[in-house]
Amino acid sequence: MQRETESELMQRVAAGDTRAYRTLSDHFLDKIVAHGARLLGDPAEAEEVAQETFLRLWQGAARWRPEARLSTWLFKVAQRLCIDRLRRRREVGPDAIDRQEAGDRPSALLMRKQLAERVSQALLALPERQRAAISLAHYEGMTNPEVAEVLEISVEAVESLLARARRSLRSSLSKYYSQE
Amino acid sequence: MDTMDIMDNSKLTLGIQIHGADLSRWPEPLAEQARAWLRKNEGARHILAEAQAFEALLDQAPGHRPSPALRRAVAEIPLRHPPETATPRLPFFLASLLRGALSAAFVLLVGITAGWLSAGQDADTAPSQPVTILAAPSAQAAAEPSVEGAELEALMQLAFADELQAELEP
Repeated sequence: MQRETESELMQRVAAGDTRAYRTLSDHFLDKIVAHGARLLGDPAEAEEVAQETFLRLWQGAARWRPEARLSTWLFKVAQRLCIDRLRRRREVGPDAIDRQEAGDRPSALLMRKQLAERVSQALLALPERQRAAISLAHYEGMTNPEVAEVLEISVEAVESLLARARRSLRSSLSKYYSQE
Repeated sequence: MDTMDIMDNSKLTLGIQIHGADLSRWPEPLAEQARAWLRKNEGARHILAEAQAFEALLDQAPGHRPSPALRRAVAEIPLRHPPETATPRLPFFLASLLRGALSAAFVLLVGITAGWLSAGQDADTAPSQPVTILAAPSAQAAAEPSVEGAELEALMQLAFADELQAELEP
């Protein structure tokens, strides 16, 4: 979404325009939910975070500054809400991986599902900041400076997080992608 | 890490770890060096191919999609949280003038009321009371001979504080 369009839509949302709000929420909802689910490992909690994020969008539109980018602001809000929840509970461990791999001759669909689950579990095993960085950079397509803005750290710190995250993931998933 | 003097496989690997396997997302000077190196080195091409396979694997877990219930809930947010009716806000200097005028009017009203209530108790001091009240309302409140006048003043100050607060709130 173009920045000028974002700014126009936010001005209309600030004036109480529900259609402008729907345009923005429809555009960003999937991304916010997906990022929350990767971070929290719990789709239900991710949906709660998403709902809270868009409530803040609706109620905070009047304070919107046009020089800010809406996508980074939304992800920043969602990120903070996710971090709050993570601090309040124990992180999910990797135990589910072994249970998922049981069974003989699974169908192709089941294998794809198990592979997706394996990747999700590997992501969840990462420290939360590495997980957040890889979610934003790889899955949401953000540039490293944008990731730095969302996570409120330096670009160098983001690069370090991404390098470590990719190394860890490659180590834990090597047998699933190696071309040798 | 935006530029490298000499590209080699270890620097290519580091670049992939930081920026990913899609060279279009790299800083352009670094991407150009990587492309030049890839053209010359077969090992580099293998490194990139493996990185691309790894990222394709990551894409097998695209993430949870919003449920229909969530989509409805998010769409209904404006209905369940209607915007508050905006009251026109005065510019700051006008608001200050208004506060000053209201303060003076309040003090005058309290003074007149207190003087009127006290008129029947002490005829000798009554004419000077309005002037004393205007000069030092809080001191006057402490020295107010009339209980009814003090209570009235306290009540009106409380009500006025609420009015001022409402005026100042966004």
